Amino acid sequence: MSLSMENLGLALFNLLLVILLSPLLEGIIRKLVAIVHSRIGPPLYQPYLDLLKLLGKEEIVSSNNFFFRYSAVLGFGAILLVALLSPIAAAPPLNAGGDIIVFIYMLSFSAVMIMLSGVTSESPYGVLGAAREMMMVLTVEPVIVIALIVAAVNADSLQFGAIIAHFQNNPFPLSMVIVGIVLFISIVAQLARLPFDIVEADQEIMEGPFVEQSGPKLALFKWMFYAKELIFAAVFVSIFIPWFHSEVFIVNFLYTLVKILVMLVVVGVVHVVNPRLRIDQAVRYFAVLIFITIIGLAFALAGS
Amino acid sequence: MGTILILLLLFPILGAVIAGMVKKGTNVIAVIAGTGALLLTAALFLNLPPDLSFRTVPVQLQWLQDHLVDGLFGFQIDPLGLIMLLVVVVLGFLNIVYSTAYLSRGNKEHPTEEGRQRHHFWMLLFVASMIGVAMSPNLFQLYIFWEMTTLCSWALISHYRNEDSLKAGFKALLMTFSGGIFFAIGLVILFVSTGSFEFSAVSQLSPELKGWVFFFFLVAAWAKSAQVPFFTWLPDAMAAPTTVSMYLHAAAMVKAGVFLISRLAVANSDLAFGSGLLVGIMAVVTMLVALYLFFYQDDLKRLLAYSTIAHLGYVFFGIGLGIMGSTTGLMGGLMHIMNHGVGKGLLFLCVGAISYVSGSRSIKQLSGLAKTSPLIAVAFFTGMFAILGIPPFSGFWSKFYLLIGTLDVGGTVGILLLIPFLLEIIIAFAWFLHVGHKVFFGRVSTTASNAGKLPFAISFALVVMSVLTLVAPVVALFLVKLIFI
Amino acid sequence: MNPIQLFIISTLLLVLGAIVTWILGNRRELTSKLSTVFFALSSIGVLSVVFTVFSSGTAQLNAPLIEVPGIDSGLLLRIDLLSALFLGIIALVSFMVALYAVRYMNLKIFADLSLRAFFPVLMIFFASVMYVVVVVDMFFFFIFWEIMTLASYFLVIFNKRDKDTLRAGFKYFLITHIATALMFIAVIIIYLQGGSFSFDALEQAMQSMSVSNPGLLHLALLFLFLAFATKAGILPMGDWLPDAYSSAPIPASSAFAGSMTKLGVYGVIRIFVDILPVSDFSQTWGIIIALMGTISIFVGTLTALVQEETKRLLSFHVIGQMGYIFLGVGMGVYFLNVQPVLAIVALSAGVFHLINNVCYKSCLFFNAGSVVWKTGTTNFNLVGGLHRVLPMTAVIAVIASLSISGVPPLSGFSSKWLIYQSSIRAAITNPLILGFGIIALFISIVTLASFVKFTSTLFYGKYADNNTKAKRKEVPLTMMIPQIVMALLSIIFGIVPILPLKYVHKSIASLLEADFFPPMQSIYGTDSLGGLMTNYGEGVFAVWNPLLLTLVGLFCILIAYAFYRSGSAPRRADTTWYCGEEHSDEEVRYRAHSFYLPFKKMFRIRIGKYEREGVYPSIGYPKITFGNNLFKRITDIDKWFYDPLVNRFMALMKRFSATHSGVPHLYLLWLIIGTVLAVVVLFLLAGHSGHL
Repeated sequence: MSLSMENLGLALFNLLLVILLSPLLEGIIRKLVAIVHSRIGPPLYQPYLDLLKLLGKEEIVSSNNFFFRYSAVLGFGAILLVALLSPIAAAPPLNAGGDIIVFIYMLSFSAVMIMLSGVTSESPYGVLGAAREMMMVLTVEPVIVIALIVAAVNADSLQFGAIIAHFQNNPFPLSMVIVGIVLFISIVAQLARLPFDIVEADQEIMEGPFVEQSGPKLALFKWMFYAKELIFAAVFVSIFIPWFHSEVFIVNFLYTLVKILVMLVVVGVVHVVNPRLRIDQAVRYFAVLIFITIIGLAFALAGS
Repeated sequence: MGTILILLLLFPILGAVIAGMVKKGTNVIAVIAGTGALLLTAALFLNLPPDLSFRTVPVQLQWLQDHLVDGLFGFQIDPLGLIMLLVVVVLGFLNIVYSTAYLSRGNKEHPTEEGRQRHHFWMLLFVASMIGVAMSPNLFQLYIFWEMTTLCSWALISHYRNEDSLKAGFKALLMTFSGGIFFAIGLVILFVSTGSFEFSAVSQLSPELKGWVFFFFLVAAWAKSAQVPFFTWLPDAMAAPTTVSMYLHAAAMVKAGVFLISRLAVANSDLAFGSGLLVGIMAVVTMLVALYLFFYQDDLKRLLAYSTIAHLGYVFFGIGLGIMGSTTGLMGGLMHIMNHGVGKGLLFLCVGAISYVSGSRSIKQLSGLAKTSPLIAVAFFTGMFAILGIPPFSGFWSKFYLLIGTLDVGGTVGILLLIPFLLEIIIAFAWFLHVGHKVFFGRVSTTASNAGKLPFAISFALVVMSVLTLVAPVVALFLVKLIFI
Repeated sequence: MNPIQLFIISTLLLVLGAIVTWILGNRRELTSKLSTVFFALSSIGVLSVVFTVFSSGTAQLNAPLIEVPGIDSGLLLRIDLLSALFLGIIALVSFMVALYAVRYMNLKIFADLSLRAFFPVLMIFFASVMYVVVVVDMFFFFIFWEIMTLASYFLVIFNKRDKDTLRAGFKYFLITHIATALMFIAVIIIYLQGGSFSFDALEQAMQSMSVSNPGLLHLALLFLFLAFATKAGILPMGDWLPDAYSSAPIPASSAFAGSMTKLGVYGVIRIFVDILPVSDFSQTWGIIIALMGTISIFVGTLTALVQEETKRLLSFHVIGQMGYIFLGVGMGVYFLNVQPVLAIVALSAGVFHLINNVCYKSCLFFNAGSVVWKTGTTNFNLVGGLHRVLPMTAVIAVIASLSISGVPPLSGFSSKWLIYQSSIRAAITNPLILGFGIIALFISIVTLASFVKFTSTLFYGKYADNNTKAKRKEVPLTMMIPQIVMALLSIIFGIVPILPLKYVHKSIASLLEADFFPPMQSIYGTDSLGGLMTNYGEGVFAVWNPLLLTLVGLFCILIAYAFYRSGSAPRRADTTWYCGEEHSDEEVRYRAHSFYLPFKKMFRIRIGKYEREGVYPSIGYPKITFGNNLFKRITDIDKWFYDPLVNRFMALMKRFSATHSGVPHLYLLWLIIGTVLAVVVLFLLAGHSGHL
């Protein structure tokens, strides 16, 4: 079926990209933040060092519970699966395995793992963080869902491959512009960047769900975040910025990379110039965003 | 066959006389008389013509040849009479069995044996006169037995001989007897115009006269069956011992009223639509008035009395539908004579049992009885569901037929009757469920916690009646079907 | 033996069981065990009937078992594929519930309640539930429906000591009674048109009514829908559900969740798909069904989020999940007349969700029961960290929770996916349905939120030691097996959705003409193992291949594990860190009440002075007092009519009796006066007539 050589190669490529390249993007953002802060900042490869260090560090087990022990592994595994389901420079390798609904739900699976790690830690900070994570999912997810549905309605398919192909060959409607903007704002929250790093909020609740995580588990969680950044950015740019498409894979890839970089720079800037919102402010903020996406949806249904 | 019928009428009378005379063993005599009546009824059923011809050609036996009118006195056996007969005899038997235990020193509400003999005498006479009503071949004989039941009920309601019960007995006598006058007037007009007392003679009247005669009979029946506006004697009659109330409500007396109208409706298929409408509307009004008065009752027996008024309204309602043209509705009404009798009888027996074990009938004072007397709880809920029309218990079947009948009549009339009828069904359901919860569940109140044990006779009657709520609709359906073939 | 006979025997076994357990009621252990045996036997019988029917087609009786005189109705049984599908579910649930109840009902908290009010009633309940799905006569459908209601009412009020329980039972019975009264009317309306209560006659009657009297048909359909929706717990008619479910003992609640509420869906499918001819009516009612479903999804689930008691939380989720099912079925009914391909997908989605819902919802109720078994309470705020004493239950609870929240690859996701994608596809035809789908998608996340709360407060989080005096011991095996079975089914149906979907598709397709719906192969791209690729005739629309994704996912997890162990980091067990402060266990517990406070605040309604949290419009119990008002005075005829009349009459009589004084002279006087009067009168009369 879908396991042709080409697909296999693409799958490997996606995996490697997500695993290996994502810390670099994090490094770039850190550097950027440092520049705005007028600091020298860490070297670009610092995230790699962090991860390597953590992977070898002692793991402190404070709760003898399956989900406390393995939520990081499951979460990271899920994000790798998401990587296979998402289009990075090309149609997703598992285009025949799942559509955007599956994509959204697999993403929420990783969020569930974060929550489980929080609630199973028995620390009140962990549970509080998990509750906040849930609330963020509750408010941010609808935006992403509706935005992707707008794309699907326009393309009359739920498959990423078909959607991307549709926008490469057809005019870009107004509804997509509206939801694209909103989606971009919500991605800042999905990536847990300021002003929406409410879940971890290290000054407030000490990394929330990760308060009891240490060693390799913490590494995996951090890595998961880096990977998520990359995937989100890739999905966003390939659906909502589809212009100037090339048939050559490598060109396409480099072009996508540039788009991702630009986007993450913008995210980084937003991150550094904003203070953190309180959770209730964020919730209300997203209520407005959801409303706007629904307007976008109405446009899409009206055919524009 | 003739012997059986005569014995069936005379056996209870004989029993009454003996039970009233002996010094000791009045209980035994009464039970024997009741059993005898039951066995004779069974024999009657076994002797029915196997080809079921009696459903169209009633078995008529004359027992007092008269020179004035041929067949003025006699017996008539037909499906409708059998429905009534079954209710009268079976419930009468159970009632007598029950009363042997109920009228005793073990009874917490009335710990006395005084008047037991009196009770048995009148009760057996009551049974006999109701048998007479059920088997009457014409209106004249029906009238005689009808007034006999009035007399019996007067004596029975006044059983305790205190001021309340004497007053209640007098009131019942006055009101039903006044109704009886209308019966007599109707009878005279009928006889003068047609020269016949036959049930079907009403059809021979001129249309105008037919309306009036039917109306007179209807007034008599309303008074007898405690319908608006003559319903007030029934709740007061609750001063009587519960056994009496049970028989009065479930089988005798009030059923005589509906029986009269059923007889007329079945025998005369050409009654005016307007008469049916009048019957139907008054039935619905009765239901609603009785329903409204539910909410003020604290005494369980009075609550049941109002429920009886409403349910006799159901029967009238069915008859009204029948006159308006819906056979299904009429079937429902006639079935309800038996179905209601069984359910209501069971409820009364339960209330009697409650007052027997706890000495109270007040809804306020009782709670948590299911814990202390589970049998009463089971029986009460069975009876309640039978009355409220929850399948598979008896009341459901007649209600279903009545509803079909209402919609069958259709049109504005149908809808106007349907809505209050439905309201009555639902609100009565809610209220009874509420009362059932209040009395039987929840914390055990002090009154309920003192509850003693039930004697065998009472338990026996409760269990048999509970089973009958399931059996009754089958029998009723069978017999009712025979009427309309 | 023919399947119908086997079915009758199996159900009679239950009735027999009811009698036996009633007689032996006082021997608690024995009755519990005996009832399991009866349930096991009947389940085996019914399941074999189900398999026979699925392999060899519809089984039916040719002549009615009982005929009702006076109306055209008879007890006719027919087990078609849809009935078989529901029978299978019911048989499974009945056995699981019985197995679970064996130990559960012997808990100390029930020691003073007679089991006579439980096992026999449960058996009657399941027997009637089974008959409801096989009768093809509306009258008997109604009767069995009511017997089921009656039995379930007794199960609800099992704990008769408790005031709230009684109140719940009352509310339940009353609301369903009103609903059945409406159904009654609807059935009679259609009966009077067609002249018979059999389903075939109803179909013809509806056919003719749709032309001759559409208004009346709409009314009848409305009443039928209300009755089924009430039973299914669709809001606002399902208001009874949270109270009743949380009052009933756990096995009963899970029996309700697994069978009774689902019969509402059965009724809707039977009436709106099978009996109602495909027409504009299906379109109108499809939208209404879907709309009511969506309202239930929204209100039910959001209300579940704020509950602080396990059973109430689960009950509100029953409402929400029934909403999903109704959404699917409603969409299906809508598209019957428009686009049959979409119709069958949506209908299958609804029914498939129903099957999944039975699995995980029963499982969740069982989980809650295990918590009761251990701690005696179901209040979230009082218990916590139970995974230490109930490790297995905790894992199962997480599986069931993830399944109900629709996390792939568990079963809840598969069916929800079908619902979502059909609603998105429907956007082209009807944007309203897309709106329903989006609400459903959003609420799915709320479901997740509420189950995060459920698992985290009950099973994880800080161990609340003072509430669990019991030893570290899992629940007994008979309570464990039902949970494991249900959880396993959730996983299997999630990974191989085509397995149940095949039967669902078959049974729904059998309701209409053979070629009304396209074959399964062309819709899902496959009819054997493998993924679902829905195709509505214009290329692949959506894809979900759980088997492939699970395998790849496992591979990904392996990679993740490799990374995890790559540094071969040492492990050290230690206590949880509370910033070094001294604390008591109570201080560091995060209670259920605190969950999602900011989110809950979003759904605060304020109109003038009226203010309430949440979206659930519950009405308090009104206190009605009956004063001595005008109507009461009018109905008291004695007072204003008879009493005065009689009093005046008596007074008159008293005046007459004054003459009766006992003095002979006076009597003589009266005699003379009387004679004179008589003579005068006679004289006058004679004078008039001219004689004398």
